[in-house]
Formats: sequence, C-alpha cells, structure tokens
Amino acid sequence: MEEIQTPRPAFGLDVFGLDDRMRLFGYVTADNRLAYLWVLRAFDAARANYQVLLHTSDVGTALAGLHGTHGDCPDPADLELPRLLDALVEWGVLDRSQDGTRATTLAEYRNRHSVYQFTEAGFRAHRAVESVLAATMDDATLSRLVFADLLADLVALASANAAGDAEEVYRKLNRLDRALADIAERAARFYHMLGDLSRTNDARPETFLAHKDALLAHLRDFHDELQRYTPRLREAVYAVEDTGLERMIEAAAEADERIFRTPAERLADWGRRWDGLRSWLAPPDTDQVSEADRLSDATISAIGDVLALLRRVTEARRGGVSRESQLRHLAAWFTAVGSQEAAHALFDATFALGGPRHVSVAHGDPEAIPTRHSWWEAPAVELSRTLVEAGRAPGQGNGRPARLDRSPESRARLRRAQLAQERRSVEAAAGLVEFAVGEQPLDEAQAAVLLRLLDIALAARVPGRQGVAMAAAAYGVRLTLLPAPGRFTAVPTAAGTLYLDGFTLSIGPADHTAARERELVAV
Amino acid sequence: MSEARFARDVSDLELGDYQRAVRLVLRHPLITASWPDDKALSRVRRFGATLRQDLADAFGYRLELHGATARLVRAKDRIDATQHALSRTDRPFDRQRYAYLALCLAVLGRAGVQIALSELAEWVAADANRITGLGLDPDRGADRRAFVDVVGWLEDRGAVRLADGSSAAWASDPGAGEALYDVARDVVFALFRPSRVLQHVDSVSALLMRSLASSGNAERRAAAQLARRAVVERAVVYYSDVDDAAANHLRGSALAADLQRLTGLRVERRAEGVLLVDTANFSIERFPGTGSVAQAAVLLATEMAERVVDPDGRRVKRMAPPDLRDHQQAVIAEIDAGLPTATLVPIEELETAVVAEPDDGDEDPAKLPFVTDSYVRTAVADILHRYASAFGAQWHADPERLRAEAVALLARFGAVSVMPGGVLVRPLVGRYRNTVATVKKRPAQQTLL
Repeated sequence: MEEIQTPRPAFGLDVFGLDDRMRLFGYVTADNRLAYLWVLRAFDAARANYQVLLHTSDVGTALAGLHGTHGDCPDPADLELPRLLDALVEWGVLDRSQDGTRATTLAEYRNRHSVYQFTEAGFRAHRAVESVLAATMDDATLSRLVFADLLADLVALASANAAGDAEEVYRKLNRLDRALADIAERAARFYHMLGDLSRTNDARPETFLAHKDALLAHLRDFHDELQRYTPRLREAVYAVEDTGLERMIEAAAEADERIFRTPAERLADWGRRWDGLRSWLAPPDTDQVSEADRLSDATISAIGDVLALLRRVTEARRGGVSRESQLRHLAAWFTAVGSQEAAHALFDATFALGGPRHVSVAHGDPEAIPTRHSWWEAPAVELSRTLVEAGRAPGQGNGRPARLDRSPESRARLRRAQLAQERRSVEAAAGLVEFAVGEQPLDEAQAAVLLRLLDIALAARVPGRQGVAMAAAAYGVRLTLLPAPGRFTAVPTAAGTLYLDGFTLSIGPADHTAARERELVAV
Repeated sequence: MSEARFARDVSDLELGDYQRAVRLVLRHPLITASWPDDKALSRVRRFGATLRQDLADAFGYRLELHGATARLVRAKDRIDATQHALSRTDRPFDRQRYAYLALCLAVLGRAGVQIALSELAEWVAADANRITGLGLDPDRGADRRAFVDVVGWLEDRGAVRLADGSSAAWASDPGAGEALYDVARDVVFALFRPSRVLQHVDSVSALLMRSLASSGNAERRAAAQLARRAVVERAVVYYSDVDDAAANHLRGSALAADLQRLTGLRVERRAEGVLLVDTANFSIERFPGTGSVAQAAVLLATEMAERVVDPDGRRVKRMAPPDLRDHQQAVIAEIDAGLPTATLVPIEELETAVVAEPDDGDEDPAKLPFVTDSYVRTAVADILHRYASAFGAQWHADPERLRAEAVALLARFGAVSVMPGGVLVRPLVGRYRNTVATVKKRPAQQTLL
C-alpha cells in the first residue's frame, strides 16, 4: 500500500520495480540461454577494458575472441546477434541507444544504428548469475581461525563495557556480529556440503581421493579447535554479561550510526543480535544445544560420512566391485535360486548369522558310562515327564512359587481415591447435622450419606421386634430412627422426596466414627 | 593340571563369565547395543581380546569389535539350509524377503544418519525393479509386508532404530503412514561380511572354508579347528561324516577338555561320534525341546528306537546311509543355478576350486536301520491319540504336517536321514530310546478318563 503512495522514481536503478527486476533473469530460462550468457560475458569483458557502448559488430568481435579462448562459447557466426540483443533489451538487461557519431556510408549508418550497454540492474543481474555459476564447493569450509578472534573480541568487549566506552563497545560488538555472521554462513554452506556428500552416489574417485586427507585433517582440526574454544567462549560470554548486559546494548545502540533507525529499533536490533550470539556460544539452559555444539556434532558425523564414502570409493576401485554392487548381485541371486531351501542355504553362506543346535539333556552321571559304548548300548538319558507329555520345559510354573504382583502404585492410587471419597462423605455428613430436616432439600452427596446410614440402620433390624429405635453411626454422625406409628417423615432431596413411613428421623454428631484426620492426611 | 590352552589369562573366578561370553558370541554372531539384549555387548567387550584370540585359535573364527557391534565371522564348512532368517512373526524369510534384505543393506550403506521408510522403500524399489522377477511395488500389499518384515528384522538387530512413526502404519497405508529411522552404520556394515567378494565367485561352494594348509603342522591345526567347529555347531558329529584327520581329533581327549574350558559344556563321546550337551541353553534350538513339534519329535524318536531294538526280534531292514555330500552338492547346484551372470566380475587368478572331499567315499559305511514312512505315520497317529490333550486342534487336523515337521526336526539334529519312502535311524536316537518307559504308565490312566 505504501509503495503506491510514494511517487515512483523516474530514473536510475529505481526505475526497476519488483516485476522488472525479476524479468532481468528471463534470459536464464530462455531457449538459447547459453548464447545469451556468452553475449553478456562479451559485454562484461568489454567493460573490463573500459569499453562500455558496443555496436552489434563489436559484440560479434568480442564473442569471436571469447570463442577462440573458451571452447564452449558459441561461434558468433552461428548466432542471430541482433535478435539476441533485442531480447536482452526487452528484458531490461541491456540498454539501447543511438550512436551519436556520424556515419560516412549508408551501410555504416544502418549497421551502426544502435549501440548497447548494460543497464545498471542488468549488470547486477549478470553478476549474480555469474556468481551462482562460479560457485564451487571450495568455499564450503569452516574456519577454525575465527575462534581466537571471537574470544579476543569478547574479552575486549567486556573490558570496554566495564570502562563504559560506548564507541569501543559498538565497534567490538559489530565485529563480533560480523564474525558470527560469517561463521553462520560458512556453517550453512558446510551443512549443505555434508548433505550432498552423504547423498552422493557415485563420487568421482579421483577428486575425492586427492583431497580426502586434507578434508579429514581439516574436519579434525576444526573439531579440535571448536572443542577447545567452546568452554572458553562460553565463559567469555558470561563475563561480558556480568559487566552489564543492558548497559552494553544501550551503548551499542547509542553509537550505532544507522541514522534511519529509531533508537528503539536500534536497541531491539542489538538485543536480538546479542541473543543470537548467545544461542551460538552459550545457550541459556544447560539442556539446550548451542549452535556451536550442533556444528561440532555435524563435524563428527561428517567425518563418518567421509570415511564411509572413502570405503565405498576404495571398494569400487578394487576390482570394480563395491559392497553395494555385491549386495545387489546377491539380491538378484536370491531371487533366482531354485528353491526356498536353497535361499536359506545361500543366506547362511553369505550372512553366516546362524547359531548352533544342540542336544540338551545330560546324563546324571556321565563319567560312569564308557565312551566306547554305542549310543544304543549306553543307558538312555532320562527325560522329564512334563517335557514328554506336555511339550513344556520342566520346572515351568510347578515347584516354583508364583510371582507376586504387588503394584504399590495402583494400590496407593486406590487408597487415595478411597480416602478422598471418605473425606467427601464426612463433609456431607457434617452438613446433615446442621440441617433441620425438611427445611432445604439435601444435595446428592448428603442424600447418599443419608441412604448409606439408613441402609446400615435397617440392616440391623431384628425381625419380629417392632417399635424399637434403630440407630446407625458413620462418617461422624449418628442417625436415629424412632418409631412413630401413624406418622411419617419426609426428607426432601435434590432427586426427590424420601418418605420414611412410621419413623421420625434425627441426626446428631458421633465423633468416634469420624475418620481420623491423621489418616486422611497421610498417604 | 596342565596349563590350559584356551582362556589362559582368565582367572577361575571369571571363567564362568568368560564361558558365557563365548556361548553368547557363538549363538549370536552379531551383537549390537540392542541385539540380542542390551547387556550382551558389555559382556563380550569385557573379554574382547581373549575372545578374539581364543575363537581364532580354536575355530578359525574372526571376532570383529567395531564401535557398538561385535561380529563373529565364521568359517563355514558346509552349506546349511536350516539357518534361516525369521520375521517378527516367526516365519522364515522367503526369496523375496532375502532379496529385499540385501537391497536394504545396500541402500542403508549409503544413507545418511536418518532415513524415512518411504524413502528407503523408494530406493530399494529402484534397485529391485532392475532385477528380473523381483520388483517392489508399494501399492501391492504383499510387497509392502515383505519389505516391512525386512525392516523389522533390521530394526531388531539395531541396524535401524525407529525414531518416529510406525512401519505398520505404512504397511497398511503407504499414503498415510510413515516412519523415520536412525541408521546405525556400524551395524549395517557388520551385518554383511561375506568371506569372499560375491561377484568373484562362480559357485556358492567357494564361500566355504578351504584348507590352504601347506605344511603338516598347519594341516593338523586346520583339522583340529574343523573338528571343534563341527562339535560346537552341530548337534552330533558322527565319525563317519568327517574325514580321518578330523575324526582323529574328535577321538582325542584334548578336544573335550578344550571345549569344556571354552564353553563350559560337556562333550559326550560314544562309539559312533561326539556331541556337546547343551546344559546352558545356548543353542538356537534344543533337542528335546519345547513345543508340539519338538514333543512329537522326541516321542517319535522313542518309537523309532523301539522299532529298531524290537524285543520280538522283528528284523529291521538296514541300509547304507546316503552320502551327505550328495545332498550338499544338490543344494549347491540349486543355489548356483540362480547365480546372476550379468553382474559377475570374474577375477583372473582363478584358483582351482578344490572342495575338500572327505576321503571315505569308497569305504562301506555301517548300515543303518530303515524305518518306513508308513510306520512313522502310524507312530504319529498313536502319539496324537495318546497325548491328545497336549496337541492343539491344528495338529489333530493335520497329522501329516506334524509328521513332516517332526521328522525335519530330527533330521536337523542328525538323528535321522530322510530317504525316499522312509528315514534312516542314526545312532543319536539310541540316546533317547527308552526314556519314556517310566512315563508310559500314564496313558493307561488317561484312557480310563
């Protein structure tokens, strides 16, 4: 929204909006993209010789020169240069203008009609493409030298912060920031390289073998250095924070020269950077993995990867067979063997993972039997009855006591539930005493207690004896049913009214039946 | 007592632990942090150096300790079709699963630290689809299950470790389910350690141990190793099945002492051969063992023994045992028939493939009693009838399968040799001939009920 409101600039790089900038890369996906690339390289080469404006014929000459030195540069004679140049102008990579010099002949005038040069954005696009094309694995290395700088900067930062030198704090922090950004970038590339390395299927043995020692030595050195510095860097980070984290960040934000940022933004920015640095070198929690540790782990596994690759390469060199091709060969063999039995036999011959088979029962007194006897003459071994009759090993379950399953956890859980239930009942029962029956309906818990008490009381009834008071006590209350012929008691509860025909009901405290508080609290 | 040849620097106090470690390694040639359990590796590591030395001296085995794995690279003397890989549901692998296993290992060898199940499947499929008759189509349920079985097998052995998700979910719906695995490179490499480069061999027999001995001393040493290997690996070693040099070692007293020192187990020697009695439960399968088939097998052995030493004097037909090498050769031929020639990389120095032939070929071996299939069938029916309650309904429904599996079990233990029309009873059966005599009273009571 804001972009629309700002007046669109009319010249220079700003002419290129987002869409135009992306169109700059159109030639990369065009049909004869290699031709476009070489045309642009011709422009680039000319620019290196301080020649900026090129005629079509100049481009041809420059291309012919490149064709002579670079094998894969197309011959300009095969190209329709004007069409290529027009397309590049269309995409905004090149700029076309009219040649200002006077032509002497008509033919010259036609040929020299237009001159081309890079637009600024086009030049940048070309550079970007070239940098991608030229990228190699070489820069995907980790630098072990940076750790010493980091440590020195951290120490300097601590002292600067302690001394209150805001500009020095800013300078050191800036350097640390940049160094860390560099490490992060290298690490990102390094992770990529590791991924590629472990995915590589056919490593070119020559290049790999040529560099394997250097690579392994580099990984080892880096890892050693990382291990050596990690604790010291962590200490240094803590030392810096001890000198006053907020003060330091304020100082850095104050000395920050980025004038277009508000002080609050600068403060937040530096706070964020310090957090990033911390997470790299000294994570807040001990169980949190720092980026440095992660890098260290990745290095270790990279060494494993390199060794595995090495094994594969050397195996492949030895007689043209690798472990992998052997296994594929074996898979084909398995598929084609004559029978299932043969497959088992082949498995055993190649994997040899089988175990021994033996006869199990020993004689009671082996010494007593002469070895010259045949198995037919020597006494036979005695087998246990269980084994023969039931096919079970002797001693399974019989003679041995069964295992006890006490499971203390579930017992404790049940006990807790029971006590909680008891406690609820006691509370409900306490409520019952205070109630004058009939004033207010009993709630569910109180009704349950009442019914429980009635249950106990009625269960104690003696047959044939009427007109006797019945009582029951539990949960710290006593319930008494007094016979009152012709009358009834109505107890309203939440679920309905309970009528007790021929009895009056009274409830009083009975402390001796209340659960002991000690017991309720225990467990 | 003379100085022991093995476990020299192991004190008497530690000898029990050492023997346990030896048995552990023999039973589990691959030990990882999680396989067969989490304590195994430390037990082996504790005696690493001594174990390596002793196993090499005694058996010609190589113990490799790398990172978090211990791998026993065995020297093989014969083709053995009874040592199969099992899925988690205890079903033996089929050819497809074996092939997937090989391809999975190939893919895992180049994988990174982690791999997603679908990714693994994709890569395996890419390889599998290049092999005629194999293929892996994630849309086919059978292929998926086979693949997941293989991954489960690898997971059990610690080659991959589940980090997230579930392979079962993927197996039921590859679109929705997914699993993430950590790859243990050490284990992946330790799993597959062939004795020779497979693409260099033109027959599976080239993977077997061959004596390269040149001097008499080395030959004796090799024969002694072969004898020890045979005793420690097989249920029973008959003198007639090995060559004279090895048989000499089997007869000597040093072998029994050595093996007892190493494994803590006792060697039993009889006129026909030698066996190691497993009293420590270290074998992958024991006889007599537990389970219906094992029970039927031991009862069947008793029946066979009764038939052989029949008190009524009925003559049992006796026959010369078949040459074991013939069967070996048949299996080898079957395996070699599948040898892919396209990916074979022959090497120039072709050694003449001398398979060490036991030299008793022309000697007439002792004849063995022959028990016909019909007798075995009747015996199985009788066993099923007598011990009816011990066998599940599926065995009652299919006594023929029970017979086949029980006979196969006896054959695995060298108690019988399977012949067309019946089995030859080998001497081991004599060890169990009347063991059930005391128990036989019970069936009479049971029939009253």
